[in-house]
Amino acid sequence: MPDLFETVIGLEIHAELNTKSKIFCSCSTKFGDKPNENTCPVCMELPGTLPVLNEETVRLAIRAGKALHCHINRINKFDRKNYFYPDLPKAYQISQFDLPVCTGGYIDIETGQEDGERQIRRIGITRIHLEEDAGKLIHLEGESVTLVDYNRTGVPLVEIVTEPDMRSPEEAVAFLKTLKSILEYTEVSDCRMDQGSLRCDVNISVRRAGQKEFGTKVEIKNLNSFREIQKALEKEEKRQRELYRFGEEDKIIQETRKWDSGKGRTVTMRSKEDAHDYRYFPEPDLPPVILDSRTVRRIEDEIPELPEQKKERFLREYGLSQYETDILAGTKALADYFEEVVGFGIRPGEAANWILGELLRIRKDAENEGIPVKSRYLADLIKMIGEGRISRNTGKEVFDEMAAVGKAPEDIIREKGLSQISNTEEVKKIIRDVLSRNTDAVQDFKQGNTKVIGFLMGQVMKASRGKANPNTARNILEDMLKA
Amino acid sequence: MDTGRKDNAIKEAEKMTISDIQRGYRSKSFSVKEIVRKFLDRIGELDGTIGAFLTVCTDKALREAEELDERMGRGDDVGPLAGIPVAIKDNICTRGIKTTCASRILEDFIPPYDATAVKKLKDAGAILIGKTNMDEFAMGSSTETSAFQTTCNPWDTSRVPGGSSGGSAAAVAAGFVPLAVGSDTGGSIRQPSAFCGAVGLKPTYGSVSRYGLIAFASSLDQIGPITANVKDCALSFQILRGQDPRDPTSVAAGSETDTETDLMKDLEIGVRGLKIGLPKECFQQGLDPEIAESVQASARLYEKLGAKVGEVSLPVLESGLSVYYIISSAEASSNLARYDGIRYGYRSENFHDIDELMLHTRSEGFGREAKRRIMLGTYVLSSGYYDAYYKKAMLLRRKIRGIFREAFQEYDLLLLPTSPTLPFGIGEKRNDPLGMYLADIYTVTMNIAGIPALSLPCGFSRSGLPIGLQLAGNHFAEDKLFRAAFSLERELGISGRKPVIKGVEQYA
Amino acid sequence: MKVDKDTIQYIARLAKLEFTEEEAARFAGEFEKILDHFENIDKEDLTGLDEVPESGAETVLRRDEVKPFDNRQELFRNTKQMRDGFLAIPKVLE
Repeated sequence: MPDLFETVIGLEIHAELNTKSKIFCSCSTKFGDKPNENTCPVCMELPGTLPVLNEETVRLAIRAGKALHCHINRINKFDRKNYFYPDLPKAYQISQFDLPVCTGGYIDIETGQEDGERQIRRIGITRIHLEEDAGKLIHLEGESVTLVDYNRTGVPLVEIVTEPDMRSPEEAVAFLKTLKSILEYTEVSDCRMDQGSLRCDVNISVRRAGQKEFGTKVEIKNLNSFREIQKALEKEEKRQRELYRFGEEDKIIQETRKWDSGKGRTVTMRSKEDAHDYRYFPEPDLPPVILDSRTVRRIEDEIPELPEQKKERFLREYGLSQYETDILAGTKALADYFEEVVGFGIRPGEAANWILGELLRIRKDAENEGIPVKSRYLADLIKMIGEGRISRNTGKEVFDEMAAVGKAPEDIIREKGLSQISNTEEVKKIIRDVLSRNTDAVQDFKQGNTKVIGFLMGQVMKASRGKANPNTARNILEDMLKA
Repeated sequence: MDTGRKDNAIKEAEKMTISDIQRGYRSKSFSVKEIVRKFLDRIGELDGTIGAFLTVCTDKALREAEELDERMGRGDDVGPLAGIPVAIKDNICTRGIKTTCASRILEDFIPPYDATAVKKLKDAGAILIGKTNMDEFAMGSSTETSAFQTTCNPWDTSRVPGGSSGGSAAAVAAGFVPLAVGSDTGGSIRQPSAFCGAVGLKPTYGSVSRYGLIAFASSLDQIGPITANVKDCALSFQILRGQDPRDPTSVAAGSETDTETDLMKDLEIGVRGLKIGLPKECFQQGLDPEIAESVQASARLYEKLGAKVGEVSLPVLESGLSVYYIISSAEASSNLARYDGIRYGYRSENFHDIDELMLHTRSEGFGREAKRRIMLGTYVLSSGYYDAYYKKAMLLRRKIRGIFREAFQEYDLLLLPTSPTLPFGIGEKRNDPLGMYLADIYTVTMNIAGIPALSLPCGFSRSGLPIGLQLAGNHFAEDKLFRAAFSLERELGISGRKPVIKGVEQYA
Repeated sequence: MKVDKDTIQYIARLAKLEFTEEEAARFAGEFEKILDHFENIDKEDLTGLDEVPESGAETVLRRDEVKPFDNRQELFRNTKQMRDGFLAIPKVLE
């Protein structure tokens, strides 16, 4: 049945740029340092101080713009956005109003399959601009003070605004995942939603199918993970569609709602008395940034391989399946890891098995939490299995141990005495022993019951505590039985 | 050397130029400590009457003087301003020393860093004597809006010293220091210099770093020297200027000359062949006839000295004033938004929540003029009014720059009055804000165009009040300004004159 | 240009300033005079002028290097209250 209504979603994303120092001063941008450790008169915005632009922020913003197919403005300037809030020490934020760094780009996202063909939707990007972050307020229950940490003041951000081109919560999350992947790949930002280096506010409205005008839109803030974004959008979409269905769409008012993860729904934000009049005007302390085309071209050349290109290359070079490629090339961390392991001489398929199987089993969130096994170690382990020094099952044990304690596979095998027994004499000894204790089974075999080999193999593995090289053991067992 | 001769040598320290003092150090006629002591004593005796200083750094200055004497005794290289006492306007940050902008809202603010200008002076060996009084946040033309005290004009203590760098100009006129540093946003160095019979320079925008200058109007503010004569002014400017990586607006905007000229070299070559234009609009109504007469007389002197003097049209005065007040108020409203009692400075004791804290702190901490400018600036930037005022003012600013550019194609320098009035009485213009604004009419356009301008004493009124004239040049043409100013100063011969300060005046 | 008390109070709220009714009335009067004076800019011909930044202005940039501030103890000397390294300010309601 055709959908009577259409959901319209737009996003406003803030990503912290991957620079060493802040946007307007030389303080460190490192996350998690002691409060007010990374401050100076400039980012504390003491009287008399002036901002000096960090050249790397411009480079990264342009890189992001190029990777997102944007037009780069050759002349761009900064503007002051004036408002009062305790996390903003100078009561204005230096941002970009009418001449942002980038305009007019897009990301293509997959919206599903139809007749075996991948469906692509192009999501437009309206603009990308540079701005500075504010400090952090820590609200204390039942106390008369609020604590302030200015480490984050002046950390460089890009604000990315999309066109309202997404048509479902899934598309919104797909967009974000793709954007995150691109920004990570280009090393523009490490995009950690859990650390606040990627933040996203959403705008959602509904309209009658075929209608050109947009319905009233609602903004939702305080979303801290992709899951929350999807849930919040789904809830709000449902709320709005219900109202439309009953002809009560005028009950939808333009407002900002806050996602309350505890309650699992959005709540109205306490509205400030006046709509913000930010009184934007050109920042007189910063001369405009004027780029020549050579500089822009050079920055474009610096862009590392983008996710799309990497996926296509993985399919081609490594002969992996689409599924394998999508996951391995999905994040830079995994992609690099995979290529490192292959680089140590491991067959791509084998490397893929281990990464997709074992690694992701123990670390579902490997991209963010870090990969616990060195690529060299995994490669060594795989080689050892191939050489028959340990069995595949033992290998999995060793892998888990490596992840837990970080030791090399050599050391673990030696310490735990896990080496496979491949030595023929030793294996023969074990097998003779097993055969002598299982004379009935031997009789069975001699009478034509070949299946009993399985049972005897089991006994051999048990007797050797799993350490007998299965291939060697099997061959010797068969020989001995036939004899 | 007998004490009698030494006493003689520093008897009239207040009349010494920078060169005089340096000569005395070299010939060992006196020590740095003795000079500093002499100036501090004079301040102690007379500043109660004048009120030029908000803070006097007695102990620190004497300590530094002692150290400097030691180093000079050892033959160390001590810098081009070694042992020269200097006063600094209280909107320029001095590390560890209270910097208040003459405002209650910063009454106890102690900066953790030095302004670049201060650092340069210290590196050159200057001794910081104290911080001078000013109009609150540099907003004003009389130093009357200071939250702490009134400064009097040393030439007539019932009159204002001008503003906003009134304390600095008065300190030089009263012989408290040979060098004072001020700031000029719309005339705040030049007008008080004219009122106090001193030489004051507003440099080309961007030639002196603004890092550490507590901002009033970012695109107009400049730090500059105030001295008793032209040579001292040129020497001091040479120390203060220079590109600063901490100030992105410093020498960033299209410098016409890449190499910095040596200002002292050609100071005395005279004005033969120099083309000087008199803007005819400046000599129309509103100008005190004594000032007009004095400035015209100087124009005639320039002709006598070999300059080519002519008339030029500069239709920028009326609109220039509006452009100035729109832009400066807009920028000020934003620059002053950070003063809210949360992190430093005055904090209201009367509040229930943080919003009230900010509201009451600002309402109690700012004076009337500062509030007026903040309100005006907020108004012209607010949505609905931005296009009508701010945007138009920015476009007009371009036009004004173009008009000056054209004028400087025909002339090397412009000659005009600094102030339309003689120093007025304390309290006379307090309730006439618009009247006060109109007094800036000759000075604001140079800030708008970013060009350098200097005020030079050119005579006295019949009542004995100083009259100053203004010389303006193209961007980075300070060398021409100083050359012309030096010639006229030499010709006029009045630069040695000092006021007799009523009250306690002692000669040894 | 007529300016009324309500406009003054609105602007005051934006500027985080508080005025009594009579102060607001007096401000309104002063503003009117000043804004009337500003009307002389309307007489000016502004054709051919635009706000696009003049390309003569140079871009002044800083290298991406960390240089910690050298005088950290004095940085907070003007703060009224600190706690465990944080600034402690009167409670901010979310």
